[in-house]
Amino acid sequence: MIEVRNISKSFGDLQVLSDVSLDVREGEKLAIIGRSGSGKSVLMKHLVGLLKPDTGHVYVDDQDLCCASYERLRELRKRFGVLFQGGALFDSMSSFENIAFPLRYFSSLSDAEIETRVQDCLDLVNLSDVGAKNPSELSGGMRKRVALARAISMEPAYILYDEPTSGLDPETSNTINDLINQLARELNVTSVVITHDMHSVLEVADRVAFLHNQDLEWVGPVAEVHDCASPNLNSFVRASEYKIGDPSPTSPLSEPSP
Amino acid sequence: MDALSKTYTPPGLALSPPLDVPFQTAARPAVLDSLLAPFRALGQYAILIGRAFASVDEFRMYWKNLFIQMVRIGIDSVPIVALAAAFSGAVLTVQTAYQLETPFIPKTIIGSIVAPSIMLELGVVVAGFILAGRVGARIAAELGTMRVSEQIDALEVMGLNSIGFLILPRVLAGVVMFPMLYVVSCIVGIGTGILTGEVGGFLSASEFLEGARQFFQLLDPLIGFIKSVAFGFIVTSIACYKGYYTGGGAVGVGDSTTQAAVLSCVFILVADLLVAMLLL
Amino acid sequence: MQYSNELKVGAAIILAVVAAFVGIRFFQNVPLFESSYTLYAEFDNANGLVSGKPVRMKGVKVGSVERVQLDPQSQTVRVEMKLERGPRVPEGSEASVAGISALGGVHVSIAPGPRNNPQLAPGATLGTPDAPSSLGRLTEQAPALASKADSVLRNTNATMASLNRLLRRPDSDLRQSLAALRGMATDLEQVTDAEKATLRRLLQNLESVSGDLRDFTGENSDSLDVAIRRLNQSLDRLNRGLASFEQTSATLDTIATKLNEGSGTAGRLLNDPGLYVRLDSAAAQANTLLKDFQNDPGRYLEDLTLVKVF
Ligand SMILES: Nc1ncnc2c1ncn2[C@@H]1O[C@H](COP(=O)(O)OP(=O)(O)OP(=O)(O)O)[C@@H](O)[C@H]1O
Ligand SMILES: [Mg+2]
Repeated sequence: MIEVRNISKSFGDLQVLSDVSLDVREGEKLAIIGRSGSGKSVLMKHLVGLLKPDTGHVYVDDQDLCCASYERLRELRKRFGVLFQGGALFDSMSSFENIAFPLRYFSSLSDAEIETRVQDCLDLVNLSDVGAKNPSELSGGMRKRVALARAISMEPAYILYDEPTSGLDPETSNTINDLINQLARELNVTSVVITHDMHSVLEVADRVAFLHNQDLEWVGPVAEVHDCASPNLNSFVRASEYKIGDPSPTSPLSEPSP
Repeated sequence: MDALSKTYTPPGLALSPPLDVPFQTAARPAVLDSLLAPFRALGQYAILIGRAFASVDEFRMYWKNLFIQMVRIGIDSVPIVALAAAFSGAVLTVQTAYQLETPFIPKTIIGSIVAPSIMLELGVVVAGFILAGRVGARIAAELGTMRVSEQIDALEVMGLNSIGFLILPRVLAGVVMFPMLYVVSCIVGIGTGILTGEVGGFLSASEFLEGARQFFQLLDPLIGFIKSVAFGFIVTSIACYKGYYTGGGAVGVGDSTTQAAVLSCVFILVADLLVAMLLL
Repeated sequence: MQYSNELKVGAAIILAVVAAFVGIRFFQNVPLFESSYTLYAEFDNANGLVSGKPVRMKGVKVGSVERVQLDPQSQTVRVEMKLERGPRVPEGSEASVAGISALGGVHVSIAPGPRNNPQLAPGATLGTPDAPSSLGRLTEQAPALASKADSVLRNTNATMASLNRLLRRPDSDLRQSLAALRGMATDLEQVTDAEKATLRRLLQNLESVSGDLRDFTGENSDSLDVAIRRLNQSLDRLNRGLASFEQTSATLDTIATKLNEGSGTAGRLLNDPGLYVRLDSAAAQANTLLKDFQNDPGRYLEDLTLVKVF
C-alpha cells in the first residue's frame, strides 16, 4: 500500500507537482498516464524516496518516507523494483552482472542459484542469450528489458515501471505486458506502470491515474477511461486511439499531439 | 513556507541533492545567493564526505570496490607518475647544476638540493597534479555519467548506500594509493636525478649521494608522505563531490570533470602551502 | 596470467613500504644488513648533532648517530650511536663532536684508544677528551679575538667606503665627516694596536699549544690549523686594511690642509669644540660594538665555531 498525500514539488521556478494525492492499493496494477513532461517520472521517484516532496507525505506500508531514517528508507526500498525510464543499467558490468548485482548484495543465494535466477529473469524478458554483453552493446529496447529483468530479479513486492514498452516493437511490447500481468498474478506484485501507450494501459491496468497540469486530473478504473468527464483525458485517449488505428507503424514513444 | 525549511533536508533523505535541493531558492536575492554559493558547496561537500565515512560500518559490502579502485587509481597511475617524476628529477638536477656552476660550491650541494626538493615538494606535487587530471577527471566523469543516467538512483533504489558504495572506496583508495605513488615518484625522481648528473657530467652518483645524505632529514619524506595523503584525499574527494552532484546531461558531466581537475589542482596548492607552514 | 586486484594492490603497497624503508635507511646512512652494536657518549654540547649523522674514526665512517638526548639531571647530552661490527673501537677511545654545524657536517669523531686494548663492549659509554686549560682558554678567546679583528676591519672598510663617497662629493658635509673620521681613526688605531698585541700573544700561545694538540687528536688538529690560518688571515687583512687606511688618511690630511689654508670658515669650523663631542661619541660607539663582539663572538663569526669543539 502506497499512499501519496498532498505532495507538491517544484524545481526552482518550475512547479511540477502541486497537491497530488494518490493511493496505490495492495496487488493492483495502476497505470499513470499523462503528457510528456507532466511529471510522471518525478511522481514515481517520490514513491521510493529518491525525491523529497516540498510539502506533503508519502507512506509506504504506513511508514512515512519523508521522515524515515536513511536506514529505514533503505529497508523500505528493498521492497521495490524500479525500472527507470532510461534503463539505468550499470555500464561497467555485463547484463548478467547487472541483474545479479542486487542478488549478490541483498540475497543469501549461492553463486549457482544466482546464475539460475538471472537466467530465468533474462528468459522472462526474451533475452536468453545476452547475459555476457555489456549494456553498450545492446539496443535501446534490449537495454530496457535487461533493466526490467534487473528490477524483478529480487522478486519485490512493488514494481514501478517507467515506460516499460517504449521503444519496443508491438510483439515484444505484448510480451512485456504479459510479463507484468503474470508477475502481478503469480507473485501478487503491486505494480505502477507509467506509460504513454494506451494499448498497454488497456492490457495491463486495473486503474488509471491521469496526470495533467501538475495534478492528478482523473483517477478511476480502466473501464471508465473512455467515457470520463475529463476533456483532457478524453483528448489524450482519443489521440492514442487514433494512433493505434493508424496503419503506419508507430512507436509508443511518439507523443500525442497537444 | 519559508526558504529555510525548503532547503532543510532531514539527515536520512535528500539523496540526490542536485535534483532535490535546487541551488536557487526564490526567497533570497540572486547576489546574496551567489555570494553564499561557495559556503553551501563547502557544506554539501563536507556532508557528502562525512556520510561516505559514516557508512564505513557497511564496508565489508563494498570492499571489492575498494580493490578495483585501488588498482585504477593507484597501480594504473604508476607509469604516468613515474614519467612525470623522471622528467622533473632530470630537469631539477640539470638546472640546479647550472645555477651552482661556481668553483666555490662543492658539487655535492647539487645532491643536497635535488634530493630533498623531490622528497619534500616536487615528487608529491607533480604526482598530485598528474593525478588531479588522471584520477580526478576520471572519477568525476564516471560518477557524473552515473548520475545523469540515473545509475546512482538505481543503486539507491536497490537499497544500497550509493555514497558508501561509490565514494568511500574511491576516497580510501586515493588516501592509500597516493603515498604509494609518492614513493614511486621519489625513487624515480631521485634516480633520474642521479643518472642525469652522472650522464650529463655534472656530478658523480657518489657525490650526489654524499650531498643528499649529508642533509637528509627524516622530516623531509615524512612531510612528503603527509602531503601525499592529503593530496590523495583532496583529489578523490573533490572529484567524487563534483561527479556525485552532477546535473544537466553531457554538458554537466563535462563541467564536473573540468571543475574536478581544476579545483583539485587549486586545493593541492593550498594544502601544500598549509602543510609547509604548519610542519616546517 | 590474470592476477586478482587484491594481489596487485597488496604487492604494490608492500613494495612501496619496503622501498620507502630501504630508501630512508639508505639516506640516513645506516648500514642496512650488517650487524651493528650500540655505544654511548656524553657531551656538554651537541653542537647541532642530530640522529643520522655519521660517526667517524680517523675520518672513516664507522657508524651513525641513533639518538641525541638531553639528560635533564646531569644537563649533559647523551648520544646513542650504532656502530658497524668491522672496525675495532678499543677501550680508552674518546668521542667528540666535530665538524661545522652551519654546513651540516657535524659528526661524532672517535679517537681510538691504545691499539692493544680490548674492544669496547656494546652499550659502553665513550669518554670525552677533557680540554687542557690553555686549550680551553684558546677555545674561548680565539673566536672573540678573531671576530674583534674582523670587526675592526669591517669598521675600517665601511668608514673608508663612506669616506671615499663623501670625498667625491665636494658639496657634502665634509666638515663633520672629516672630524668624525679623524676621531674614529685615532680610536681605531688605538684599539687595533692594543688588540694586535693580544693577538700576537695569542698566536704564540696557539702555536705552542698546537704541538701537543696534534698529539692529542689527529683529526681535530686539522680544524685547529684551519682556525689558526684564519686568525692569521684575519690579521693579514687587518694589516692590509690599516695600510690602505693610512694611505687614505694621508689623502685626507692633504685635503684638510687645503681646507685650512683655503677657507677661513672651514678652518674655524674645524676648531669647533662640538667636534670633539661628536668624535668622542663615535669612539664610544666603536667601543660598544667591540664589546658586543666580545660578548657574543659566535654571532659574528660562526665559521670559527669549529674551534669550540675541543
Ligand atoms: N532534476 C530535475 N531538475 C529540474 N527539473 C526537472 C528535474 N526532473 C524533472 N524536471 C522537470 O519536471 C518536469 C516533469 O519531468 P518528468 O521527467 O516527470 O516528465 P515525464 O512526465 O516523466 O515525461 P516523459 O513522459 O517524457 O518521461 C519536466 O518539465 C522536467 O523538465
Ligand atoms: Mg518520464
